[in-house]
Amino acid sequence: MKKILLFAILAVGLFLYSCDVSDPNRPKLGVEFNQLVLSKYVALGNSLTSGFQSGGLAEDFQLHSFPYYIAQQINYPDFQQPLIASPGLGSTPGKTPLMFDPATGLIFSEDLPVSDPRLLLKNALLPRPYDNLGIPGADLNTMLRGTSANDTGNPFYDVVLRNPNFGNTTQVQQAILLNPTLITLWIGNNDVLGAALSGGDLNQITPVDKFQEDLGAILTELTSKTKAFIVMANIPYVTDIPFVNALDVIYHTSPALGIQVPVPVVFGADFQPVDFDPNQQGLFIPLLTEEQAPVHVLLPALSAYKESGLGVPDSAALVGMGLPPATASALVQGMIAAGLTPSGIPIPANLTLTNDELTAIREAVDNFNSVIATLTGGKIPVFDANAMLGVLNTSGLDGYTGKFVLMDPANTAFSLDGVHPNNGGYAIIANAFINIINAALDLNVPTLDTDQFKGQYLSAGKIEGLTWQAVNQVKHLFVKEKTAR
Amino acid sequence: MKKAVFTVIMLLAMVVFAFGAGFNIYEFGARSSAMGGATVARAWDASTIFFNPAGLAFLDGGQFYGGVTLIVPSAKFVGAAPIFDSRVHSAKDQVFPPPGIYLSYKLGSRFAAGVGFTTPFSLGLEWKDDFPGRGVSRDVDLKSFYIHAVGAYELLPNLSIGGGLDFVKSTVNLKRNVFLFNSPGSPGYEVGTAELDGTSDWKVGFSAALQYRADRFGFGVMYRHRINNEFNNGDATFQIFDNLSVPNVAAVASSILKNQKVSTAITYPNYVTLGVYLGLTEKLGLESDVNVFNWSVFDRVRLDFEDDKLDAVLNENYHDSFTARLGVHYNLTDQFTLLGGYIYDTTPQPIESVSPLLPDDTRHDFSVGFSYSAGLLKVDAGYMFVSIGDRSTVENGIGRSDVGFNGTYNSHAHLFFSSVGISF
Repeated sequence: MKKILLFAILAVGLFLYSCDVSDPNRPKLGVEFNQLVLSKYVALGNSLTSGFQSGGLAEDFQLHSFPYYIAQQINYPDFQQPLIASPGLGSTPGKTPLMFDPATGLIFSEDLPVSDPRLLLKNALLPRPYDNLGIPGADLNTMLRGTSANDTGNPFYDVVLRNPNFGNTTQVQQAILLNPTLITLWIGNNDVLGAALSGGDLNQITPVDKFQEDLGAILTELTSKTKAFIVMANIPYVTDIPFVNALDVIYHTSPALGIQVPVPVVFGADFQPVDFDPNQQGLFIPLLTEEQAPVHVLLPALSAYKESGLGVPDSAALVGMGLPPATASALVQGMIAAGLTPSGIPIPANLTLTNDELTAIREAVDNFNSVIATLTGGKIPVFDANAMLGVLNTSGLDGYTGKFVLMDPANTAFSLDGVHPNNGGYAIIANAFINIINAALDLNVPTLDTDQFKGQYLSAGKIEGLTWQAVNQVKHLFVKEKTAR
Repeated sequence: MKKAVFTVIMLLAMVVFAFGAGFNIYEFGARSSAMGGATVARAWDASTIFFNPAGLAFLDGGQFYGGVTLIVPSAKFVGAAPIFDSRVHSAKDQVFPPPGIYLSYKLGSRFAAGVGFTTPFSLGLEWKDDFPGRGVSRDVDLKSFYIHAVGAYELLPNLSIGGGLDFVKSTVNLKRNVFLFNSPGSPGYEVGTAELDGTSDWKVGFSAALQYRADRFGFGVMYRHRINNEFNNGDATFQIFDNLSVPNVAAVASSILKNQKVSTAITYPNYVTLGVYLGLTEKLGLESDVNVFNWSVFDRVRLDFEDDKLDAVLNENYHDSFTARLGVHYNLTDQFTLLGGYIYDTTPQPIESVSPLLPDDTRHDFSVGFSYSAGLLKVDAGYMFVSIGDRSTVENGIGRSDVGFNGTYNSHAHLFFSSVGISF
């Protein structure tokens, strides 16, 4: 009897032990799988990603960066950027971004009140890398290898990466540390932009095999060390920006001089070519240029033209064009009366682009975009920024145009530097990324109403010109010293 | 018979394990445990030093009672879709052997004194290395050591009062993996492991109790005061992984995660137990008890590092809870008694603090056992199955976890207990 009971107890115990409890039921959160991609966003890139406008970086601009717009639209709560306190950091060390002076109507910049740019960093103590890792001036090489101002010659590296605090890590490595789920990657513009801004120094173009090698390495790092969904943008033609094409409006033929192909000619305050002999077949006076038949005159030439008459022929030059000395002399007097300065100094080669240079630069962009298409191979969606810039310049986008602020202050999508977008331009870019993300992941992230950013410059007063120093500083970050390459 | 007992002991040795809601353990005597812990109203052995010190007054002569409960828990986790895949993660197999050891002596006709040793607030749960919640907790081991020094006095015939002091010291060991550079939406970058190890100072608490004992009726009430054990100058030890995927970050991690001192404190709740014993026949008796735990004292755990940047607060926000116990005994012979019990153990843990550190839920426990006595010697043994079941931190599609780690836990436990009693 006792044994029976004992064994009964044992049997119950063993039974309970053997009926191992079932596995827990898997719960489901009220969120779709694809929405998880939106849980941690990190932006990689250059000045375009950083929110750079008007030749500099400042909090007002950064709060209109396209990554910040995207973070707002996906309700990402804590998107951190290296916010730069007023007056901001210009692309030339020691200078502010470009500003507009209502008193003179000029775009200008000033000296910075601080010596170390890091002193303007508002959230310098954030104990993790920034979510917007875009660094003005970054190209493929420095995105992959640059860790500081010291090794890149670019002070923005110290501002954004804050090494050695993060182990002298690169932009790509800091993105990996953040363990992102969504990455926007827009890089490579500065591997060709310098060639355009320098007036055709083709040495500024990264060789395509080097471009392919470095972009491949960046994508391999990101895809092997994060689980992020990556969206890229390709490279717009760097010659289709106001810095390069704003002065196309001063091109005209000059039948009186037998010039049948449009060339840059003497123009007035309203950018209209001046006909010095309207009663005849049209006497438009070509500007003097070092390079023959330039297809673009770069924006810095504008201020030099106004301030010192750069490119305006003097009497001797006019005679050289075949005009009688008396006519030449009268024309010089007329130009002086019109407020021009007939300096006789030709526009230097670094302020014009020839057709050969233009073709080489566009070919480089085409080659880079082919590499981007190949390396992304359908696995990584690519926003066709090049096509979008074409549309902006031809038919406009959302009522915005690609014209320079002096020509179209109400509708321009570009900022005062003629290279980078303004608030509205970045909103257009953010929408393009959002549309790509929505299409790839079947999501419904709302796009921005771009109208709300219109007229960024209208309240400032009439913008009439720009200083040489200001517009020339734009090139600083993007045109590399030859010795650095 | 001897062979059968031997078989039981062998079984206990081979298998293992058990525990109560929150991180309370109540199984500190095999007979009591087999009766679902319902022993506040009647003293059966010297384990009443823990369950109701007033009961000591009704035990004759000298009494030794000692044994161990082997707790074999099982915990599983499956993460919430769509964040985690459908893999079910099991905790590592562990066995916890909380002891209950007692010695009492009746001094004269009305007074008795005793000492005991238990570990009533203890916790252990270790997950495997690839557990997705390893950044929250990979391994926890908390032990409280209670030395009870009690006395009892028979005020009136059948009515005694008792109580005494609890001398309490604890040890705690927490292990988790460290993710640096975390932010909303991302755990950050996994760089290594952290281990916090501490031993508290002694603290003194007390208990006070009353018991009424008639032939077929008994009544008991017991109060145990809370203890706040402080772990000062514990050791925080960090290990950085080799071969991190981002070079140079190991140096940064090492500079942030320096081995240092860490302090914390844990409060064990006060509780009161009430119970009634009824002898239905000469052979059959049952008891019903209720414990009410003041778990709301366990609201948060602060981890105070030397480097303030590492300070952390674990929000617990427990609420008060109760446990209902039913025990039964049937005296088959003069020597052999069958025992059984059931426990309804409500969880004090809110859904927000359910985590890999301690995934608790309301429990149903079923116990069986026997008591065998031969002269001055007594052997008690039994088994309890603790059913905890599914507890999810996801409610209506919303993740409620305070640390943002959502999924469903499923736990159960087997407890094997045996004690030996000697009268002298």
